[in-house]
Amino acid sequence: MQKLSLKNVTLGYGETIVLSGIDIEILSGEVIGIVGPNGCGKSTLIKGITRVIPLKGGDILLNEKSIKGISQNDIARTVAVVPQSAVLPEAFTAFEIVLMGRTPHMKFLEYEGQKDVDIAVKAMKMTDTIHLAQRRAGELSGGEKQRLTIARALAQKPGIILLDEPTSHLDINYQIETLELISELCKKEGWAVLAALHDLNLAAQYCERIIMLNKGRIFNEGTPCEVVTAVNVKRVYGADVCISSHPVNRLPVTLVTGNRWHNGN
Amino acid sequence: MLLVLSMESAIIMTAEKKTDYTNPVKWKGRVLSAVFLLILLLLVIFFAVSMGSSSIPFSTTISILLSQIPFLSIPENWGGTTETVITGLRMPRVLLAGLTGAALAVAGATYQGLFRNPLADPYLIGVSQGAGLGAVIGFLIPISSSFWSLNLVSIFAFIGGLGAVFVVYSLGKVGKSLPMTTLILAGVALGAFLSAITSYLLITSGESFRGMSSWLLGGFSSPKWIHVWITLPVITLGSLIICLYGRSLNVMQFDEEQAQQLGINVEQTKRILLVVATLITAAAVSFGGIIGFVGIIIPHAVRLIWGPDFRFLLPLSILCGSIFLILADLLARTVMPPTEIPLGIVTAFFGAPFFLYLLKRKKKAVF
Repeated sequence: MQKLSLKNVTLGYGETIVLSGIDIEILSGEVIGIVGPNGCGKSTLIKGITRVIPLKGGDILLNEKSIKGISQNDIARTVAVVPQSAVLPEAFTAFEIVLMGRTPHMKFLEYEGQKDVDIAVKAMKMTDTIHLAQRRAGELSGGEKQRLTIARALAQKPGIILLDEPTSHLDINYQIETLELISELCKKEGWAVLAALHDLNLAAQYCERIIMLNKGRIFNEGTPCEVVTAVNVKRVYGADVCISSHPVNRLPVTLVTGNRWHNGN
Repeated sequence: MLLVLSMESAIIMTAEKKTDYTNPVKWKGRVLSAVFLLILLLLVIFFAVSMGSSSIPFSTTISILLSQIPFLSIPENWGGTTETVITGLRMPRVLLAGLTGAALAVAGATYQGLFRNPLADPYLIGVSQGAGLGAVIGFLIPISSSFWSLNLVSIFAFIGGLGAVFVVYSLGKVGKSLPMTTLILAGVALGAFLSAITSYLLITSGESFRGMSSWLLGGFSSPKWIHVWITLPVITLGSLIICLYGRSLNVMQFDEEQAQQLGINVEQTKRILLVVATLITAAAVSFGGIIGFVGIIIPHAVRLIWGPDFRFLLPLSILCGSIFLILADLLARTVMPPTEIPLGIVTAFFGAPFFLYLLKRKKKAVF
């Protein structure tokens, strides 16, 4: 049973406060989406949970243990991050990069054994990157790199997974495949998943609950139908959109209306 | 028939390549290479001790070296001068060159890894400029120190090198973290400032100018055993500590945020590696002078041959740096005797073409 809880969390850089009063609870088997305009603090939240930036207030609990009292390695064994447009060292092969996901599980001076290799191969097969195994990271496309970082996160064998725009470099097919894979693993492995997403349609299709952030605070939280409404999108993003419902599953679909057609051209 | 066979084998080979999911960490080959390099290092030491302005037969060198081992009685059939040349002059010189080469190469690899910058070398954040200024001041002070038969130049160079980096470190620190870009900028700026003072002192120094400028280009013209005994523990222990951080450096080749999310304590690792790499560089520089090129090129050459994995890159750099600098020093003292060519000139003149050859041969991303 995995559980990530944020209790009245305040985060920021130096003197600047980016997020405050954040309460979130995520359990095994749940995919929670975080949406909100650029600069609303989605990436900051992920950095805070993995202690890349220190907590300014409140507490974050990983399976009931505060991140304040555990080592960076303990955090990495529980939480894996798929970063937004990851920097990958160009000279390393894809295989070596995925194997580095095993880092938190290895003892001092221990070398990767057959077990780690098997885990890495399985992770690459799941993310459709196994054919890239011997290629150097410098030769890969943005989408291939993105899938490789997902494979690395899988190799990390976490209980909680944080995704920062996991689909930003992917074409529509890989966007679907990636999110399908994550929701499937979420159910099968009992992961607790927190995904920062730009695309409101993908968020509505793949998340049980959506948290909408605005100006460093939680603006609204609930099911896709409750959160993704024309009024909320107008108030948070300042954009005029139409919200329709999906013909197959009745989930909200955000439609953009181009001005040139609107004017009757 | 032959064609069919070769096609078949080609197909089998590609098929094998496709299913090659064996451990990509090819440690067996790399460990074998390390053993080979270690044997080569011993041979090179032995060779360099025998060679010189007065060439000594290998058999005599072996006998003299063996006679140094206690409880081993070797019949003495050589002159006292020969023994002095071997044990008093060449041996400490060769060992010092080896230690210096090892220190510069491993410190260079560490800096390149920490700064994720292929242009980084051990002198990037001010060690050399600080040591240079210290040495020049040491030259100008008209007192001859006989403190442990160390001269003032070495002591001041060591203090200068460490002092400069300490200043850079305190200037570059932002709160509790240590942003690498700020550190480089502080290092470059302080380095320029210190170089300006050094240059001014050099041109106004008059007759001691020659001595100073040849020190600044590096070399081991007056080696003493005490130099070896001081640098040996510092460099051995320092290099060992750095080698333990191979995996952390690998993971830190992602950015710092990802490294932290993979469980590396980034700030602590940076601090330890910076301090240790700087310490061994300062120790090396204070007796060898500012020998360029080794610290930047040896790690790259190793990377070209054995790949970017720091767990192998660091120890292999130590061995290659040792071998390279011993051979360079041998050339520096034997090419046109009795004049010695400054070591910095030799390392670049002979090392650069070799490196360019390696670079040309392998046209893939190495860093």
